[in-house]
Amino acid sequence: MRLTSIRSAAAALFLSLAAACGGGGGPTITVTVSPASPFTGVGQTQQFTATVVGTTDQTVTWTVQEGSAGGAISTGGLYTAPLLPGSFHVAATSVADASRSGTATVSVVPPPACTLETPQSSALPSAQVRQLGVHTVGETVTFTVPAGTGSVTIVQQGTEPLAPESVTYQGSLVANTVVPLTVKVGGVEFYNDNVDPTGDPAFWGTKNGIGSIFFDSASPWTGTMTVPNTTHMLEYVLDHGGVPAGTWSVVVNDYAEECKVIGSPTCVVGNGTLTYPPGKYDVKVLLKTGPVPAAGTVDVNFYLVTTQFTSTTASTSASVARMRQMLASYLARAGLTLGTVNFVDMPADVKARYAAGVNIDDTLPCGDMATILRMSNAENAISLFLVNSLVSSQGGMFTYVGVDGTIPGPSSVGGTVASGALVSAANLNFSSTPTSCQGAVNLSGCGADRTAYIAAHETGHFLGLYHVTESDGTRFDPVQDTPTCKLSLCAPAGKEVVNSDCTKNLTDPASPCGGGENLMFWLLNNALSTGTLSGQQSSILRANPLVR
Amino acid sequence: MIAPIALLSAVLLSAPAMSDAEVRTQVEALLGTIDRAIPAARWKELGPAAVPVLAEIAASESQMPSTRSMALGALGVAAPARAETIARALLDSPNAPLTVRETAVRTLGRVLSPVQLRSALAPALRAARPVGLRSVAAETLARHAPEEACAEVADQISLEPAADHPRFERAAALCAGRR
Repeated sequence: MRLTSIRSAAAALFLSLAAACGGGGGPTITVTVSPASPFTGVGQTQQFTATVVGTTDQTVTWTVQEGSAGGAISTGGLYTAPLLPGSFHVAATSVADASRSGTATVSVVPPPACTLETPQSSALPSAQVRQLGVHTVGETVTFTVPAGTGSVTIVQQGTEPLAPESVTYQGSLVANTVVPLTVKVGGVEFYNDNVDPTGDPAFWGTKNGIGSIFFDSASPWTGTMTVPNTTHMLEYVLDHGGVPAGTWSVVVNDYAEECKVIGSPTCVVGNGTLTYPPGKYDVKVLLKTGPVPAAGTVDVNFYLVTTQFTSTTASTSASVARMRQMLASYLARAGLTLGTVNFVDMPADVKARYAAGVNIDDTLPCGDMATILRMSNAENAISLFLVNSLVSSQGGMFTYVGVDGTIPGPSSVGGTVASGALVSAANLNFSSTPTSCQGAVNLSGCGADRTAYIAAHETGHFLGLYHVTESDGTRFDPVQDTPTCKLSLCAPAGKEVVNSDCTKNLTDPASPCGGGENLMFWLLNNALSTGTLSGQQSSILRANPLVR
Repeated sequence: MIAPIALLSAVLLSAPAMSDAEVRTQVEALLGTIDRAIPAARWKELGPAAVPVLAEIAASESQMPSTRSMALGALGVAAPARAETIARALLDSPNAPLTVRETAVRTLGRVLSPVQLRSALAPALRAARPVGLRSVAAETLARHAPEEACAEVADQISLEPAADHPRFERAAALCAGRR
């Protein structure tokens, strides 16, 4: 099942303003209806007024030309739209001369309504899936992890009625992220969302307790936690042949629940003006037998939202072939083979609706991003949605090139608001010269190469990798063998860290400034981004249940 | 742990003065962002030395379409008048990548007044090719000049083939005050 967006494809919104008909003798009476061409939502009301010229009698009679199917209108001109969208005509007829009338066309648009259909299923074999049912925040769920289990993935999917999208914490709007409050195994606490890492999370905590599981993602309505995703836990897996075995207990939680505990005014649920239901989440656990394999295969589904390709043309396109080739080369650095690649045609109305870009501002379940991600199927493959462009009407620019549903993604579970990643295909056919897409990788001149890099980066996120160093140079991934790039050491104060700041260790091994060439650095630099992956990053990727 | 995602702008309030060459390096670097937003304030903080760099990249046919689009959007923040000139030219350049022309339309929405925008985009709304450009013009008008242009938007939608109506849903919803 999936979250269903009820957004009619119908957008027939027509405008006309009919002037009064002419007549013979005496002053000409004209009737004008205002507004002439309003838009309104289904079931909504719209006030019309009529102006009658050529007579002192200003009274009119109101009608909807399509009859009740087109809505209803009161004697005072208050129009109530019907429950189905369409284009309808409101007429005002002069009482003084019934042959004189004016009309307006009202465009009735559909509602952006969504209904969350949870739970979405996993494509993994049932033996690997623990269905733990729906639980309210604060409840504890338990499950058993056998010895020798290589990875555990906890997927929480929101159910109706939905929890709020956000909380307001210290004046800032924060996504109402779904994340366990605590994760314990045999009574030992391995994760506590109220305990924040200090300094570099890769070196914080221990492999036998807090610090061995990391989470830092904005993830409303669907949250995923995959273990191992830290150096500490990778070491635990090496020591014990798998993740902690025994009874795991997880407290179902979201930020709204934590916010209630923190209390106002420091933290306010939603915008503080409405009452929201407590979050209720379907909890599913995905197990993968260990140990972490030295190599693996990952399949990819490219969902073609873009109008540039169909599945037929994609399979024969030189640009797409080049992108596949380069994507395979990036994945190979983690010991991964790019397996089956499918191109999935999206319906024509979907392609049309998002042809001018996917708006990433709206992260609500009915928003562009979530609506598209919910179209993914439950399959043991990465879902990458190729779109014409990713746009934002806010911030400092309009264009983005990649965005992930959440980190990590709900592997094998399709149809959630976070089931995949979106990758812009804006550059895919670009070639700065006739030979730019021949030979070695060319991130500046070959659009297919650049698109492959972005697809690999978002795949890294989906499988559990964070940016090695974030833009502010103060936040780092939980992996010890990826170099960090601290702002205080690597760049002038008051500036973000960029690739050139963070590749100094390549020429000076003693430099503490590294990671700028890594696939998971936050920026792509034509000359410096080689797309490296460390050994531990690679292990985290291969531990993901999507890797076979 | 609840924590706001750190914003670049918070870090950069005390940005030091940079040489023109350093600004160029920083501009080119920031245009390599993959999935992180660069706040509007950041483009302004980079100062006047960033403007010719952004303008050059936005207009360059040798640059990636997405990079040109990013640069044009940033220019709309850093230097609206310069952005307007370039955006108008790109909008009328049939050989420019569609995504760049779409960004040109959106940039005009940012830098022009509603009345100016209606005047600037009315021809594109009516006659731009391909249809994607008309739909972006409709959306931009609906977003930034609803009072001035929603009637024309509705008029244009009524002329578009039904198969293309989903392209105009966003504009229609904006005109209805729904988005």
